[in-house]
Amino acid sequence: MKVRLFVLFILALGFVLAQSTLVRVVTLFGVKPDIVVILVMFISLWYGRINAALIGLFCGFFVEITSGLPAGAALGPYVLGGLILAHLASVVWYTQWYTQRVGGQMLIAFLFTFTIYLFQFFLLRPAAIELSLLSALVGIILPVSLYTAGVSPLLFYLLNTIAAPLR
Amino acid sequence: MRLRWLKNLNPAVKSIIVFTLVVILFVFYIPLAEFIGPPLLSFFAPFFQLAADVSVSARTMLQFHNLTAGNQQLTNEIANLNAQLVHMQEILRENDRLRSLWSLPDRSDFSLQVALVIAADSSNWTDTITIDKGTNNAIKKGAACILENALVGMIIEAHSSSSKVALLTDINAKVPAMIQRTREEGLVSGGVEGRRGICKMKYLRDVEVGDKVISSSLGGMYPKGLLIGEVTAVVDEKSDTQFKTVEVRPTVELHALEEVMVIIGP
Repeated sequence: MKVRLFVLFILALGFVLAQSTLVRVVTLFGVKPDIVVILVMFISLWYGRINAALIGLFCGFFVEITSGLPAGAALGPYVLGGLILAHLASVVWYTQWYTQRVGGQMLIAFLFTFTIYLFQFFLLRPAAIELSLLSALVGIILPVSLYTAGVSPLLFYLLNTIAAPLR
Repeated sequence: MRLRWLKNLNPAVKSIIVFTLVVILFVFYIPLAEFIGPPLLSFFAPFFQLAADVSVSARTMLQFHNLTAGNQQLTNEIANLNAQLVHMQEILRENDRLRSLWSLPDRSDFSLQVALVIAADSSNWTDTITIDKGTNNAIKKGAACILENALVGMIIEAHSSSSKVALLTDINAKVPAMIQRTREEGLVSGGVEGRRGICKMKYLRDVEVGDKVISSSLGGMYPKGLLIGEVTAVVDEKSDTQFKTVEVRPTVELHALEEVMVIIGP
């Protein structure tokens, strides 16, 4: 349990640090891929509900202290999204499809990022007065989801290697 | 094992327990995050610094082919600026003479603190940066950040050895501004367009593409006269009220900042 907590903590910290420094280099049209969402998705798909909740907790907290997001706006979607995805992964039988196929990984990455960002939009909406659903969809949610889906196979491969201690 | 009873529980009961824990977590999370967040951010500042150095090196390598051309361009610019500097010094002396003749007080400059950008925003929604100076260096919440006399943003969180700056393009940024030519006042705001490095200014009557936008002292948030940007397009024009909404491109390239100057005093 202690090793698991430590590995999840270090993974979350490493990914948030990379997101706020290295990923800045690959910004396209003001949008960068969300590698933290990929980490939450990976852990949720492969390592069950408890790990999903823990990684959502760590990632959400670190993202909030390194961004301008209000408290709960990252942690809430990450924890709930991770839990729902982990539950779906445990009841759906065609797990092999998305673990072995790049297309499946990209599709799930797109859908998961889209859902997380849509959830965040509804949490941010009361605070950001001028944020309309259409402009958020076109300007942020869809581009980020596509970009994140595009880089997901590479990160899945990387995570498969470094998250081995959790198995 | 101590947690065996948990594994034997009905899935529905398990779900209720998890849901209750999540609700409890949210209730206590906000005060807890405000308590733990700032010291944790200061603790992580060296890690950010290290990662930022790696990031800058990576960016330099990616842009290596542009460096030679950029170097030549900068050399030419320096030559031009040196010529302008001589001219400006003459004007400054003339200004000083005239001020003394009219017995006007000296115009004081700002006290500035130079800070390095150690991290960008980790979220795609907001547009903030983290800098390596904080309250130990006299930086306070609400202080304006500039670069070469152009406004960059405002300090929204000041910790002991790091601070968070909300950029002009942040989704919640609202900067009191005026059109330099007409002195018409309004608010420059970020929003979704901020991701592309563009701000908006609304409810203007007399504005043209190319107009300079400067900060106004309205609300006492920012010093007056700092350059914000230039009007690049009129995006909406209401025929009944004749109000226009314009796009403003910030003078500073906000998504490539490496250092900023924080105004710490008059």
